[in-house]
Amino acid sequence: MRKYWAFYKAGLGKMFVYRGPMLLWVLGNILHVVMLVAVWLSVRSYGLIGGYTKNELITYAVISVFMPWIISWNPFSAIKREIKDGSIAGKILLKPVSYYLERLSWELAWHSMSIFIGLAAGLIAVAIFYRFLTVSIISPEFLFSLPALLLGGLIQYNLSFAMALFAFWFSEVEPLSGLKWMALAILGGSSIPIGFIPNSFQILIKILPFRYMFSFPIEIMMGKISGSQIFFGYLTGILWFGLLFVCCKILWSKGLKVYTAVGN
Amino acid sequence: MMRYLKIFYLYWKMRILQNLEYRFNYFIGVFIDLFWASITLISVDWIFGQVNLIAGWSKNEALLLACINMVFASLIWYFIIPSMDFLAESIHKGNLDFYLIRPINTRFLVSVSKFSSDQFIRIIVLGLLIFHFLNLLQITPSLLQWLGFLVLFVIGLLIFYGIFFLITTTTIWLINLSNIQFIFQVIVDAGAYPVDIFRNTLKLVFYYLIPLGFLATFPTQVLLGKGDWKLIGVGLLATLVILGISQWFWNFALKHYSSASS
Repeated sequence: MRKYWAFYKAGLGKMFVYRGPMLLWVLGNILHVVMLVAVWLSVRSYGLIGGYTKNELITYAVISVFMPWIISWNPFSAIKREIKDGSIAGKILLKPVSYYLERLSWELAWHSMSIFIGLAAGLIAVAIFYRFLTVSIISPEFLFSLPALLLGGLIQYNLSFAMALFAFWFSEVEPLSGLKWMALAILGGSSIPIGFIPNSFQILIKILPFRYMFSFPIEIMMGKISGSQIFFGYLTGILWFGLLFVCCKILWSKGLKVYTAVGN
Repeated sequence: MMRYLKIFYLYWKMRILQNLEYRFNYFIGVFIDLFWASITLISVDWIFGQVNLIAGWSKNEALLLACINMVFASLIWYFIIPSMDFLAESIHKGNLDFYLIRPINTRFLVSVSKFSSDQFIRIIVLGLLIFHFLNLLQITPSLLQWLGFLVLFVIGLLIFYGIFFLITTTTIWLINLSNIQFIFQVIVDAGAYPVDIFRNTLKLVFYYLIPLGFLATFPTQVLLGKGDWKLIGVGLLATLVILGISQWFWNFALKHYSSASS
Protein backbone atom coordinates (compact mmCIF):
# COMPACT_ATOMS: atom_id res chain seq x y z
CA MET A 1 0.00 0.00 0.00
CA ARG A 2 2.94 2.35 0.60
CA LYS A 3 3.63 2.61 -3.13
CA TYR A 4 0.05 3.79 -3.77
CA TRP A 5 0.37 6.32 -0.93
CA ALA A 6 3.45 7.68 -2.75
CA PHE A 7 1.42 8.06 -5.97
CA TYR A 8 -1.30 9.81 -3.97
CA LYS A 9 1.17 12.31 -2.45
CA ALA A 10 2.74 12.98 -5.87
CA GLY A 11 -0.72 13.70 -7.27
CA LEU A 12 -1.47 16.14 -4.46
CA GLY A 13 1.80 17.98 -5.08
CA LYS A 14 1.05 18.29 -8.79
CA MET A 15 -2.30 19.91 -8.04
CA PHE A 16 -0.76 22.79 -6.14
CA VAL A 17 1.68 23.85 -8.85
CA TYR A 18 -0.72 26.02 -10.78
CA ARG A 19 -3.55 27.97 -9.21
CA GLY A 20 -4.73 29.71 -12.41
CA PRO A 21 -6.75 26.73 -13.66
CA MET A 22 -8.44 26.44 -10.26
CA LEU A 23 -9.66 30.04 -10.52
CA LEU A 24 -11.07 29.37 -13.99
CA TRP A 25 -12.87 26.25 -12.78
CA VAL A 26 -14.55 28.21 -9.95
CA LEU A 27 -15.52 31.15 -12.22
CA GLY A 28 -16.84 28.83 -14.92
CA ASN A 29 -18.93 26.84 -12.44
CA ILE A 30 -20.42 30.01 -10.93
CA LEU A 31 -21.32 31.35 -14.36
CA HIS A 32 -22.94 28.05 -15.29
CA VAL A 33 -25.11 27.86 -12.17
CA VAL A 34 -26.12 31.53 -12.49
CA MET A 35 -27.33 30.79 -16.04
CA LEU A 36 -29.36 27.76 -14.96
CA VAL A 37 -30.95 29.54 -12.00
CA ALA A 38 -31.85 32.53 -14.19
CA VAL A 39 -33.52 30.15 -16.67
CA TRP A 40 -35.63 28.44 -13.98
CA LEU A 41 -36.61 31.76 -12.43
CA SER A 42 -37.77 33.07 -15.79
CA VAL A 43 -39.90 30.03 -16.61
CA ARG A 44 -43.62 30.65 -16.68
CA SER A 45 -45.24 27.54 -15.33
CA TYR A 46 -47.71 26.57 -12.66
CA GLY A 47 -47.15 23.50 -10.52
CA LEU A 48 -44.38 20.98 -10.98
CA ILE A 49 -41.83 21.13 -13.81
CA GLY A 50 -40.56 17.64 -14.61
CA GLY A 51 -41.56 16.56 -11.10
CA TYR A 52 -39.70 19.46 -9.47
CA THR A 53 -40.81 22.79 -8.05
CA LYS A 54 -38.88 25.88 -9.16
CA ASN A 55 -36.95 25.95 -5.88
CA GLU A 56 -36.05 22.28 -6.31
CA LEU A 57 -34.77 22.95 -9.83
CA ILE A 58 -32.61 25.77 -8.48
CA THR A 59 -31.38 23.45 -5.71
CA TYR A 60 -30.57 20.83 -8.36
CA ALA A 61 -28.59 23.43 -10.34
CA VAL A 62 -26.62 24.49 -7.23
CA ILE A 63 -25.82 20.89 -6.25
CA SER A 64 -24.76 20.22 -9.86
CA VAL A 65 -22.02 22.83 -9.41
CA PHE A 66 -19.97 20.78 -6.99
CA MET A 67 -21.14 17.28 -7.94
CA PRO A 68 -18.56 16.82 -10.76
CA TRP A 69 -15.75 17.71 -8.34
CA ILE A 70 -16.72 14.83 -6.11
CA ILE A 71 -18.03 12.28 -8.54
CA SER A 72 -16.18 12.70 -11.89
CA TRP A 73 -13.42 10.14 -11.51
CA ASN A 74 -12.03 10.14 -15.02
CA PRO A 75 -8.60 8.63 -15.74
CA PHE A 76 -9.42 8.28 -19.45
CA SER A 77 -7.01 10.87 -20.90
CA ALA A 78 -4.02 9.78 -18.82
CA ILE A 79 -4.47 6.07 -19.60
CA LYS A 80 -5.04 6.70 -23.31
CA ARG A 81 -1.93 8.86 -23.51
CA GLU A 82 0.29 6.40 -21.61
CA ILE A 83 -0.79 3.49 -23.80
CA LYS A 84 -0.35 5.46 -27.02
CA ASP A 85 3.08 6.92 -26.21
CA GLY A 86 4.32 3.69 -24.63
CA SER A 87 5.19 5.21 -21.26
CA ILE A 88 2.98 2.63 -19.57
CA ALA A 89 5.66 0.02 -20.32
CA GLY A 90 8.38 1.61 -18.23
CA LYS A 91 6.06 3.13 -15.67
CA ILE A 92 3.85 0.14 -14.84
CA LEU A 93 4.40 -3.07 -16.76
CA LEU A 94 7.90 -3.69 -15.45
CA LYS A 95 6.95 -2.87 -11.87
CA PRO A 96 4.99 -4.78 -9.22
CA VAL A 97 2.20 -2.21 -9.38
CA SER A 98 -1.46 -2.58 -10.21
CA TYR A 99 -2.28 -0.01 -12.89
CA TYR A 100 -5.89 0.09 -11.73
CA LEU A 101 -4.85 1.02 -8.18
CA GLU A 102 -2.08 3.36 -9.36
CA ARG A 103 -4.54 5.41 -11.42
CA LEU A 104 -7.06 5.24 -8.57
CA SER A 105 -4.43 6.77 -6.25
CA TRP A 106 -3.92 9.69 -8.67
CA GLU A 107 -7.69 10.18 -8.93
CA LEU A 108 -8.05 10.17 -5.14
CA ALA A 109 -5.28 12.77 -4.91
CA TRP A 110 -6.97 14.98 -7.48
CA HIS A 111 -10.36 14.67 -5.80
CA SER A 112 -8.93 15.26 -2.34
CA MET A 113 -8.19 18.80 -3.51
CA SER A 114 -10.75 19.32 -6.24
CA ILE A 115 -13.50 18.90 -3.66
CA PHE A 116 -12.37 22.28 -2.31
CA ILE A 117 -12.71 23.85 -5.76
CA GLY A 118 -16.23 22.46 -5.88
CA LEU A 119 -16.92 23.68 -2.37
CA ALA A 120 -15.66 27.17 -3.23
CA ALA A 121 -17.97 27.37 -6.23
CA GLY A 122 -20.77 25.65 -4.31
CA LEU A 123 -20.54 27.92 -1.28
CA ILE A 124 -20.62 31.04 -3.46
CA ALA A 125 -23.69 29.62 -5.24
CA VAL A 126 -25.31 28.79 -1.88
CA ALA A 127 -24.58 32.30 -0.59
CA ILE A 128 -26.26 33.84 -3.65
CA PHE A 129 -29.26 31.48 -3.89
CA TYR A 130 -29.74 30.32 -0.27
CA ARG A 131 -33.37 31.46 -0.10
CA PHE A 132 -34.35 29.02 -2.87
CA LEU A 133 -32.59 25.92 -1.53
CA THR A 134 -34.59 22.91 -0.35
CA VAL A 135 -31.80 20.59 0.90
CA SER A 136 -30.24 20.53 4.34
CA ILE A 137 -26.86 18.90 4.98
CA ILE A 138 -28.02 17.74 8.43
CA SER A 139 -30.91 15.73 7.04
CA PRO A 140 -31.08 11.88 6.86
CA GLU A 141 -31.47 12.16 3.08
CA PHE A 142 -28.11 13.89 2.81
CA LEU A 143 -26.44 11.16 4.88
CA PHE A 144 -28.03 8.39 2.76
CA SER A 145 -26.71 10.09 -0.38
CA LEU A 146 -23.04 10.03 0.70
CA PRO A 147 -22.40 6.35 -0.17
CA ALA A 148 -24.13 7.01 -3.50
CA LEU A 149 -21.56 9.72 -4.23
CA LEU A 150 -18.73 7.25 -3.63
CA LEU A 151 -20.48 4.59 -5.71
CA GLY A 152 -21.05 7.08 -8.55
CA GLY A 153 -17.39 8.03 -8.54
CA LEU A 154 -16.29 4.40 -8.65
CA ILE A 155 -18.70 3.54 -11.50
CA GLN A 156 -17.39 6.53 -13.48
CA TYR A 157 -13.83 5.44 -12.75
CA ASN A 158 -14.43 1.88 -13.95
CA LEU A 159 -16.23 3.02 -17.10
CA SER A 160 -13.48 5.54 -17.98
CA PHE A 161 -10.75 2.98 -17.23
CA ALA A 162 -12.41 0.33 -19.40
CA MET A 163 -13.01 2.73 -22.31
CA ALA A 164 -9.42 3.97 -22.23
CA LEU A 165 -8.10 0.39 -22.50
CA PHE A 166 -9.47 0.22 -26.04
CA ALA A 167 -6.37 2.24 -26.89
CA PHE A 168 -4.59 -1.13 -26.95
CA TRP A 169 -6.45 -1.89 -30.17
CA PHE A 170 -7.48 1.45 -31.70
CA SER A 171 -5.32 4.47 -32.51
CA GLU A 172 -8.12 6.90 -31.68
CA VAL A 173 -10.44 6.29 -28.73
CA GLU A 174 -11.39 9.89 -27.90
CA PRO A 175 -14.87 9.46 -29.45
CA LEU A 176 -15.67 6.93 -26.69
CA SER A 177 -15.11 9.62 -24.08
CA GLY A 178 -17.34 11.99 -26.04
CA LEU A 179 -20.09 9.37 -26.11
CA LYS A 180 -19.78 8.85 -22.36
CA TRP A 181 -20.16 12.58 -21.63
CA MET A 182 -23.15 12.78 -23.98
CA ALA A 183 -24.80 9.83 -22.27
CA LEU A 184 -24.12 11.42 -18.88
CA ALA A 185 -25.62 14.71 -20.07
CA ILE A 186 -28.81 13.20 -21.48
CA LEU A 187 -29.32 10.01 -19.46
CA GLY A 188 -27.39 10.84 -16.30
CA GLY A 189 -29.01 14.15 -15.42
CA SER A 190 -25.90 16.31 -15.66
CA SER A 191 -27.52 18.79 -18.09
CA ILE A 192 -31.20 18.58 -17.10
CA PRO A 193 -32.89 16.48 -14.38
CA ILE A 194 -33.94 13.05 -15.64
CA GLY A 195 -37.51 13.88 -14.64
CA PHE A 196 -37.70 15.88 -17.88
CA ILE A 197 -37.06 12.80 -19.97
CA PRO A 198 -40.24 11.28 -21.47
CA ASN A 199 -41.72 8.32 -19.55
CA SER A 200 -40.92 5.89 -22.36
CA PHE A 201 -37.20 6.29 -21.62
CA GLN A 202 -37.38 6.08 -17.83
CA ILE A 203 -36.90 2.29 -17.62
CA LEU A 204 -33.78 2.53 -19.79
CA ILE A 205 -32.45 5.26 -17.51
CA LYS A 206 -32.94 3.09 -14.42
CA ILE A 207 -31.16 0.15 -16.04
CA LEU A 208 -28.15 1.96 -17.52
CA PRO A 209 -25.25 3.09 -15.31
CA PHE A 210 -25.35 6.81 -16.17
CA ARG A 211 -28.05 7.76 -13.67
CA TYR A 212 -25.91 6.35 -10.85
CA MET A 213 -22.96 8.44 -12.02
CA PHE A 214 -24.74 11.75 -11.35
CA SER A 215 -28.48 11.95 -10.77
CA PHE A 216 -28.99 9.15 -8.22
CA PRO A 217 -27.15 10.84 -5.29
CA ILE A 218 -28.99 14.12 -5.99
CA GLU A 219 -32.36 12.34 -6.10
CA ILE A 220 -31.63 10.84 -2.66
CA MET A 221 -30.41 14.19 -1.29
CA MET A 222 -33.55 15.95 -2.43
CA GLY A 223 -35.87 13.23 -1.16
CA LYS A 224 -37.27 12.57 -4.65
CA ILE A 225 -37.22 8.77 -4.34
CA SER A 226 -38.60 6.34 -1.79
CA GLY A 227 -36.68 3.96 0.51
CA SER A 228 -37.25 0.92 -1.74
CA GLN A 229 -36.19 2.91 -4.81
CA ILE A 230 -33.02 3.92 -2.98
CA PHE A 231 -32.34 0.27 -2.11
CA PHE A 232 -32.81 -0.95 -5.70
CA GLY A 233 -30.80 2.01 -6.96
CA TYR A 234 -27.86 1.05 -4.75
CA LEU A 235 -28.19 -2.57 -5.85
CA THR A 236 -28.14 -1.60 -9.54
CA GLY A 237 -25.21 0.72 -8.98
CA ILE A 238 -23.20 -1.97 -7.18
CA LEU A 239 -23.97 -4.44 -10.00
CA TRP A 240 -22.70 -1.95 -12.57
CA PHE A 241 -19.57 -1.33 -10.50
CA GLY A 242 -18.89 -5.07 -10.41
CA LEU A 243 -19.63 -5.60 -14.10
CA LEU A 244 -17.41 -2.71 -15.19
CA PHE A 245 -14.64 -3.90 -12.85
CA VAL A 246 -14.69 -7.31 -14.52
CA CYS A 247 -14.61 -5.57 -17.94
CA CYS A 248 -11.51 -3.63 -16.83
CA LYS A 249 -9.79 -6.87 -15.79
CA ILE A 250 -10.62 -8.66 -19.04
CA LEU A 251 -9.66 -5.74 -21.28
CA TRP A 252 -6.39 -5.24 -19.40
CA SER A 253 -5.30 -8.89 -19.68
CA LYS A 254 -6.33 -9.14 -23.35
CA GLY A 255 -4.80 -5.76 -24.16
CA LEU A 256 -1.42 -6.67 -22.71
CA LYS A 257 -1.24 -9.72 -24.99
CA VAL A 258 -1.39 -7.54 -28.12
CA TYR A 259 0.48 -4.47 -26.85
CA THR A 260 3.90 -3.35 -28.06
CA ALA A 261 5.76 -0.27 -26.88
CA VAL A 262 8.89 1.32 -28.31
CA GLY A 263 11.55 2.93 -26.13
CA ASN A 264 10.71 3.73 -22.49
CA MET B 1 -3.57 43.27 -46.45
CA MET B 2 -3.19 40.72 -49.25
CA ARG B 3 -0.20 39.22 -47.45
CA TYR B 4 -2.29 38.65 -44.34
CA LEU B 5 -5.13 37.10 -46.33
CA LYS B 6 -2.67 34.81 -48.07
CA ILE B 7 -1.15 33.68 -44.76
CA PHE B 8 -4.64 33.09 -43.33
CA TYR B 9 -5.55 31.01 -46.38
CA LEU B 10 -2.32 28.97 -46.14
CA TYR B 11 -2.87 28.15 -42.44
CA TRP B 12 -6.51 27.24 -43.15
CA LYS B 13 -5.56 25.01 -46.09
CA MET B 14 -2.78 23.33 -44.06
CA ARG B 15 -5.21 22.53 -41.27
CA ILE B 16 -7.76 20.98 -43.64
CA LEU B 17 -5.05 18.82 -45.21
CA GLN B 18 -3.88 17.74 -41.73
CA ASN B 19 -7.41 16.75 -40.77
CA LEU B 20 -7.98 14.81 -43.98
CA GLU B 21 -4.84 12.73 -43.40
CA TYR B 22 -6.86 10.76 -40.88
CA ARG B 23 -10.24 10.70 -42.56
CA PHE B 24 -11.82 8.16 -40.23
CA ASN B 25 -10.95 10.29 -37.18
CA TYR B 26 -12.22 13.39 -38.97
CA PHE B 27 -15.61 11.89 -39.71
CA ILE B 28 -15.91 10.46 -36.20
CA GLY B 29 -15.29 14.01 -34.92
CA VAL B 30 -17.99 15.32 -37.25
CA PHE B 31 -20.42 12.65 -36.04
CA ILE B 32 -19.72 13.48 -32.38
CA ASP B 33 -20.26 17.22 -33.04
CA LEU B 34 -23.58 16.54 -34.75
CA PHE B 35 -24.60 14.25 -31.91
CA TRP B 36 -23.85 17.00 -29.32
CA ALA B 37 -25.89 19.45 -31.38
CA SER B 38 -28.83 17.05 -31.43
CA ILE B 39 -28.57 16.55 -27.65
CA THR B 40 -28.81 20.32 -27.14
CA LEU B 41 -31.93 20.51 -29.29
CA ILE B 42 -33.44 17.46 -27.60
CA SER B 43 -32.80 19.02 -24.16
CA VAL B 44 -34.57 22.23 -25.20
CA ASP B 45 -37.44 20.15 -26.59
CA TRP B 46 -37.75 18.16 -23.35
CA ILE B 47 -37.71 21.35 -21.24
CA PHE B 48 -40.55 22.75 -23.34
CA GLY B 49 -42.38 19.49 -22.78
CA GLN B 50 -42.80 20.77 -19.21
CA VAL B 51 -43.06 24.56 -19.67
CA ASN B 52 -44.77 26.90 -22.14
CA LEU B 53 -42.47 29.90 -22.21
CA ILE B 54 -38.98 30.82 -21.06
CA ALA B 55 -38.64 34.59 -20.58
CA GLY B 56 -41.34 35.08 -23.20
CA TRP B 57 -39.70 32.79 -25.76
CA SER B 58 -41.75 29.94 -27.21
CA LYS B 59 -40.39 26.47 -28.02
CA ASN B 60 -39.61 27.06 -31.70
CA GLU B 61 -38.10 30.46 -30.95
CA ALA B 62 -35.87 28.85 -28.31
CA LEU B 63 -34.88 26.09 -30.74
CA LEU B 64 -34.04 28.73 -33.38
CA LEU B 65 -31.96 30.57 -30.77
CA ALA B 66 -30.19 27.33 -29.82
CA CYS B 67 -29.35 26.65 -33.50
CA ILE B 68 -27.98 30.14 -34.05
CA ASN B 69 -25.96 29.88 -30.84
CA MET B 70 -24.55 26.55 -31.99
CA VAL B 71 -23.54 28.04 -35.36
CA PHE B 72 -21.83 30.81 -33.42
CA ALA B 73 -20.16 28.23 -31.15
CA SER B 74 -19.04 26.21 -34.18
CA LEU B 75 -17.39 29.25 -35.74
CA ILE B 76 -15.72 30.11 -32.43
CA TRP B 77 -14.47 26.51 -32.13
CA TYR B 78 -13.42 26.55 -35.78
CA PHE B 79 -11.45 29.79 -35.91
CA ILE B 80 -10.81 31.16 -32.44
CA ILE B 81 -10.59 28.69 -29.57
CA PRO B 82 -7.93 26.39 -31.11
CA SER B 83 -5.66 29.39 -31.66
CA MET B 84 -6.27 30.71 -28.14
CA ASP B 85 -5.48 27.29 -26.71
CA PHE B 86 -2.31 27.13 -28.81
CA LEU B 87 -1.34 30.65 -27.66
CA ALA B 88 -1.80 29.68 -24.00
CA GLU B 89 0.30 26.57 -24.56
CA SER B 90 3.03 28.55 -26.37
CA ILE B 91 3.24 31.02 -23.50
CA HIS B 92 3.33 28.18 -20.96
CA LYS B 93 6.14 26.38 -22.78
CA GLY B 94 8.03 29.57 -23.56
CA ASN B 95 7.71 29.12 -27.33
CA LEU B 96 5.95 32.41 -28.04
CA ASP B 97 9.23 34.03 -29.07
CA PHE B 98 9.19 31.95 -32.27
CA TYR B 99 6.15 34.01 -33.24
CA LEU B 100 7.42 37.31 -31.84
CA ILE B 101 10.47 37.34 -34.11
CA ARG B 102 8.48 36.86 -37.33
CA PRO B 103 8.15 39.93 -39.60
CA ILE B 104 4.39 40.06 -39.24
CA ASN B 105 1.86 41.28 -36.68
CA THR B 106 2.18 38.79 -33.79
CA ARG B 107 -1.41 39.06 -32.70
CA PHE B 108 -2.59 38.14 -36.19
CA LEU B 109 -0.14 35.24 -36.36
CA VAL B 110 -1.12 33.70 -33.02
CA SER B 111 -4.81 34.24 -33.79
CA VAL B 112 -4.71 32.21 -37.03
CA SER B 113 -2.17 29.56 -36.03
CA LYS B 114 -4.73 26.80 -35.50
CA PHE B 115 -8.13 25.88 -36.83
CA SER B 116 -10.50 23.03 -36.17
CA SER B 117 -12.04 22.09 -39.48
CA ASP B 118 -14.38 19.35 -38.20
CA GLN B 119 -17.03 22.00 -37.43
CA PHE B 120 -17.71 22.64 -41.11
CA ILE B 121 -20.41 20.01 -41.68
CA ARG B 122 -22.10 20.90 -38.38
CA ILE B 123 -22.39 24.53 -39.51
CA ILE B 124 -24.11 23.44 -42.71
CA VAL B 125 -26.58 21.17 -40.90
CA LEU B 126 -27.38 23.86 -38.32
CA GLY B 127 -27.83 26.39 -41.11
CA LEU B 128 -30.48 24.16 -42.66
CA LEU B 129 -32.17 23.78 -39.27
CA ILE B 130 -32.35 27.57 -38.94
CA PHE B 131 -34.40 27.71 -42.11
CA HIS B 132 -36.52 24.81 -40.84
CA PHE B 133 -37.39 26.59 -37.56
CA LEU B 134 -38.10 29.86 -39.37
CA ASN B 135 -40.48 27.88 -41.55
CA LEU B 136 -42.17 26.36 -38.48
CA LEU B 137 -42.58 29.90 -37.07
CA GLN B 138 -43.97 30.98 -40.45
CA ILE B 139 -41.44 33.79 -40.64
CA THR B 140 -39.74 34.89 -43.85
CA PRO B 141 -37.09 37.48 -42.91
CA SER B 142 -36.51 40.27 -45.43
CA LEU B 143 -33.15 40.93 -47.05
CA LEU B 144 -32.61 43.81 -44.62
CA GLN B 145 -33.29 41.49 -41.67
CA TRP B 146 -30.80 38.94 -43.00
CA LEU B 147 -28.25 41.71 -43.42
CA GLY B 148 -28.89 42.96 -39.87
CA PHE B 149 -28.59 39.38 -38.62
CA LEU B 150 -25.23 38.89 -40.37
CA VAL B 151 -23.85 42.22 -39.15
CA LEU B 152 -24.81 41.47 -35.52
CA PHE B 153 -23.47 37.93 -35.88
CA VAL B 154 -20.08 39.14 -37.08
CA ILE B 155 -20.06 41.82 -34.36
CA GLY B 156 -20.63 39.03 -31.82
CA LEU B 157 -17.74 37.00 -33.23
CA LEU B 158 -15.40 39.99 -33.02
CA ILE B 159 -16.50 40.95 -29.49
CA PHE B 160 -15.93 37.46 -28.18
CA TYR B 161 -12.67 37.06 -30.07
CA GLY B 162 -11.52 40.20 -28.21
CA ILE B 163 -12.75 38.90 -24.84
CA PHE B 164 -11.15 35.47 -25.33
CA PHE B 165 -7.90 37.03 -26.49
CA LEU B 166 -7.90 39.22 -23.38
CA ILE B 167 -8.43 36.20 -21.12
CA THR B 168 -5.74 34.17 -22.91
CA THR B 169 -3.21 37.01 -22.54
CA THR B 170 -3.38 36.61 -18.75
CA THR B 171 -1.45 33.34 -19.27
CA ILE B 172 1.68 35.48 -19.33
CA TRP B 173 1.25 35.96 -15.56
CA LEU B 174 -0.71 32.85 -14.64
CA ILE B 175 1.62 30.63 -16.76
CA ASN B 176 -0.68 27.62 -16.96
CA LEU B 177 -4.29 27.95 -18.07
CA SER B 178 -4.64 24.39 -19.31
CA ASN B 179 -8.41 24.54 -18.85
CA ILE B 180 -8.92 27.78 -20.74
CA GLN B 181 -11.22 25.99 -23.18
CA PHE B 182 -13.54 25.27 -20.27
CA ILE B 183 -14.23 28.96 -19.53
CA PHE B 184 -14.70 29.68 -23.24
CA GLN B 185 -17.15 26.77 -23.51
CA VAL B 186 -19.16 28.02 -20.51
CA ILE B 187 -19.40 31.54 -21.94
CA VAL B 188 -20.41 30.34 -25.40
CA ASP B 189 -22.97 27.87 -23.97
CA ALA B 190 -24.47 30.73 -21.95
CA GLY B 191 -25.44 32.35 -25.24
CA ALA B 192 -27.95 29.55 -25.86
CA TYR B 193 -30.24 31.19 -23.32
CA PRO B 194 -32.10 34.41 -24.20
CA VAL B 195 -30.66 37.37 -22.28
CA ASP B 196 -34.22 38.24 -21.29
CA ILE B 197 -33.82 35.66 -18.47
CA PHE B 198 -31.69 38.18 -16.56
CA ARG B 199 -33.00 40.88 -14.28
CA ASN B 200 -31.54 43.65 -12.11
CA THR B 201 -27.79 43.24 -11.37
CA LEU B 202 -27.40 40.20 -13.60
CA LYS B 203 -28.88 42.17 -16.47
CA LEU B 204 -26.22 44.86 -16.01
CA VAL B 205 -23.46 42.24 -15.93
CA PHE B 206 -24.61 40.23 -18.93
CA TYR B 207 -25.60 43.19 -21.08
CA TYR B 208 -22.55 45.36 -20.56
CA LEU B 209 -19.69 43.41 -18.96
CA ILE B 210 -20.05 40.08 -20.79
CA PRO B 211 -22.43 41.07 -23.62
CA LEU B 212 -24.03 37.64 -24.01
CA GLY B 213 -26.79 39.08 -26.15
CA PHE B 214 -24.43 39.37 -29.10
CA LEU B 215 -23.74 35.63 -28.93
CA ALA B 216 -27.13 34.75 -30.38
CA THR B 217 -30.08 36.62 -28.80
CA PHE B 218 -29.79 39.93 -30.66
CA PRO B 219 -29.21 38.38 -34.12
CA THR B 220 -32.12 35.98 -33.50
CA GLN B 221 -34.41 38.83 -32.47
CA VAL B 222 -33.67 40.59 -35.76
CA LEU B 223 -34.74 37.46 -37.71
CA LEU B 224 -37.88 37.18 -35.58
CA GLY B 225 -38.76 40.79 -36.33
CA LYS B 226 -38.27 41.84 -32.69
CA GLY B 227 -34.77 43.29 -33.04
CA ASP B 228 -33.52 46.68 -31.89
CA TRP B 229 -31.52 48.18 -34.76
CA LYS B 230 -29.70 50.56 -32.37
CA LEU B 231 -27.81 47.50 -31.17
CA ILE B 232 -25.78 47.51 -34.39
CA GLY B 233 -24.32 50.90 -33.44
CA VAL B 234 -23.81 49.77 -29.83
CA GLY B 235 -22.21 46.56 -31.06
CA LEU B 236 -19.80 48.35 -33.37
CA LEU B 237 -18.75 50.63 -30.53
CA ALA B 238 -18.35 47.66 -28.18
CA THR B 239 -16.25 45.85 -30.81
CA LEU B 240 -13.90 48.80 -31.16
CA VAL B 241 -13.60 49.18 -27.39
CA ILE B 242 -12.96 45.47 -26.72
CA LEU B 243 -10.50 45.04 -29.59
CA GLY B 244 -8.71 48.21 -28.50
CA ILE B 245 -8.48 47.14 -24.86
CA SER B 246 -7.32 43.64 -25.80
CA GLN B 247 -4.62 45.09 -28.10
CA TRP B 248 -3.42 47.49 -25.42
CA PHE B 249 -3.37 44.64 -22.85
CA TRP B 250 -1.48 42.37 -25.28
CA ASN B 251 1.24 45.04 -25.80
CA PHE B 252 1.41 45.57 -22.03
CA ALA B 253 1.61 41.83 -21.33
CA LEU B 254 4.41 41.22 -23.85
CA LYS B 255 6.66 43.47 -21.78
CA HIS B 256 6.30 40.91 -18.97
CA TYR B 257 6.82 37.82 -21.12
CA SER B 258 9.93 35.72 -20.68
CA SER B 259 10.88 32.87 -22.95
CA ALA B 260 12.15 29.43 -22.00
CA SER B 261 13.52 28.12 -25.25
CA SER B 262 15.48 30.63 -27.35
